[in-house]
Amino acid sequence: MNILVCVKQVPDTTEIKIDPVKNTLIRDGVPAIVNTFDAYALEAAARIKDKNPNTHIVVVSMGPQNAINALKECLAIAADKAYLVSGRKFGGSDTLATSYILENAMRKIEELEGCKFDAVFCGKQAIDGDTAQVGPELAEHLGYPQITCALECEEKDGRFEVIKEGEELNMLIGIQAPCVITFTKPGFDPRYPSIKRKMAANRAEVPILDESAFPDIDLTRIGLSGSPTAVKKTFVPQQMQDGMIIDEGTARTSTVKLAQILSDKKVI
Amino acid sequence: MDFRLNEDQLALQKMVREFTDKEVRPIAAHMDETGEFDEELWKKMAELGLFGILAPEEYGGSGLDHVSLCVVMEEIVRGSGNMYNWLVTSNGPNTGAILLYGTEEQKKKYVPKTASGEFRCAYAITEPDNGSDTRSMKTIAVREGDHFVINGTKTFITMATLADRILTTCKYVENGEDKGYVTLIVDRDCPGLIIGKDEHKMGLRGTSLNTVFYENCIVPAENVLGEVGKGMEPATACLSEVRVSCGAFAVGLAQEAIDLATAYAKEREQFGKKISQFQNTQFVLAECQTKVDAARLMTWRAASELDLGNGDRLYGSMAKYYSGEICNDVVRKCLQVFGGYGYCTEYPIERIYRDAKIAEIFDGTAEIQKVIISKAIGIR
Repeated sequence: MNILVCVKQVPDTTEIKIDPVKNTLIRDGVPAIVNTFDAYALEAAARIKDKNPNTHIVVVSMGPQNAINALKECLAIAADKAYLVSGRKFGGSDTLATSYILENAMRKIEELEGCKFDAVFCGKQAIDGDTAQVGPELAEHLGYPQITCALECEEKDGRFEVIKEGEELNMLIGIQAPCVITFTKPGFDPRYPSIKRKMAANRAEVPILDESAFPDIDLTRIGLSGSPTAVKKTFVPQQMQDGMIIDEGTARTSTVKLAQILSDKKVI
Repeated sequence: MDFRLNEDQLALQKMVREFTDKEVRPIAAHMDETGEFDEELWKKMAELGLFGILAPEEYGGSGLDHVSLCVVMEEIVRGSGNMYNWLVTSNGPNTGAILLYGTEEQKKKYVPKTASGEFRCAYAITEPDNGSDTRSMKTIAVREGDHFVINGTKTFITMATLADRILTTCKYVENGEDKGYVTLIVDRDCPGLIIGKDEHKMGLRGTSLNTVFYENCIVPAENVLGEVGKGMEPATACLSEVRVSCGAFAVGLAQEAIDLATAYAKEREQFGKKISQFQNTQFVLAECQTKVDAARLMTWRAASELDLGNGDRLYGSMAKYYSGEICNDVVRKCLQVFGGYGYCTEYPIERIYRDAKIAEIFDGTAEIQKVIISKAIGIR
């Protein structure tokens, strides 16, 4: 069983402060962490490995050089091998470009590792971007079936049984390998790294795959030029004034009251 | 001479610090109030490998050095002083003495399970009438065929309530004659082993401190550690290591006290300004930090000597004596920064003040350390 886990190094959003003048986020000096949802994905892979020690877990991250720290953290926790995808031409990629690059990265890693991945595990979303698009897009690029918002996952005879989070009810869904599964927060915490693994991870070599590792990649589909979307600004929304609850007993009478208020304020 | 921690030690420090903040701090007050043992926390610490820091990898440990143990100890006791007891009962003589004096069967039987946290351990030397004067102990072991029979009482035994085994040092008597000492690995299910009451203590209330009774306690002969008649050797073999851990405990508590007092001083206002802006507060905390840094370096130095294979007790004794003394001084001064709030249990400094006192007493009192130091420097 071979599992690829996609991880992203993100700023610890609990440490981010707001610039009171510009109303934007102050990212300088904020510590970086493994994206929380990716940690759940890694934990899911680790639990499969607990039951089947022959499971091979590889983590991959696309990011700047210092994302090696996040990858080493993953090695300390449960991963057997890590790769960093990093190159100038990848910079500025949106989710579509990122997922395309990750598709290429996965094929390359399969070649280097001499294996085929039975599954790709991703976090549901990155806590800095919050798009939740990369995992599903990657599935589409690969042509694999996908399940999103997974809470737990078990491997059984080459297929996976996934508990998917629902609004009111959770669902148990079976999915054939190879597949893509994205994970949300489960009912348990991810494991801590052990000291032994931490020390080994510190010494581990993390291969870096830059543009030269992908000679056939379509350059028009990566980086800024390959990104149909762009983040123009990140800001904190203005706090709304205190709201008002209108409850006149029925929907009709409440609506009449609302209309009157809006009319008085010349909104309508 | 580079006094900095190496990369591995820095990574370890960060790892344990984050773990302490997330898992230990939130339960520290409850543990102190109730004395309840947190099984979940124990399991998490076991997963990290905190009970096998020094044990070699071949026996399931992490195979790290004594400086690394100090780093771990200092960080984790900042969350709760009780963590000292959790770590030292596993990483101390119950691993070290067995590795030094145990047979291969004993090493394989006991060390991996201690390192993994599956076994909880205690070690018993002190008696009601024999604290510092350990050699006058009255608990006796007599050999009868394929087993030993122990009779006596040990006191102030940390974590005996939960221990799966208790490393016990006794007087060895043969044919009615005193023949030295013997150290035995007393498994919990040995007949005649009775765990007595848990003392109600000033500090470290989250871990039990028991009297242990041996009433014709039968221990298999294969559980002798080292040589019969030379049982003081395994008993004292790890004292230097334990004293270095004591030093790290004291440094950790003191550093936590300083950080708490500094944060409080920056918030508290009196006479129209933050109390951190008064020179008295600044000078007090500056003096405290200087002392703690000195104690930390002495502890690291003692640990480093152990790593270099220097079993000389001098450095461990100096580190323990000095760290224990400044810890109590520093914590007292830091509590004073809090004023009346420092006297209230709502503020962690109150618990740290109660926990700190033991640093001058346990695992060899400050006075015993001074005996060792004065002998080492030739003052008789």
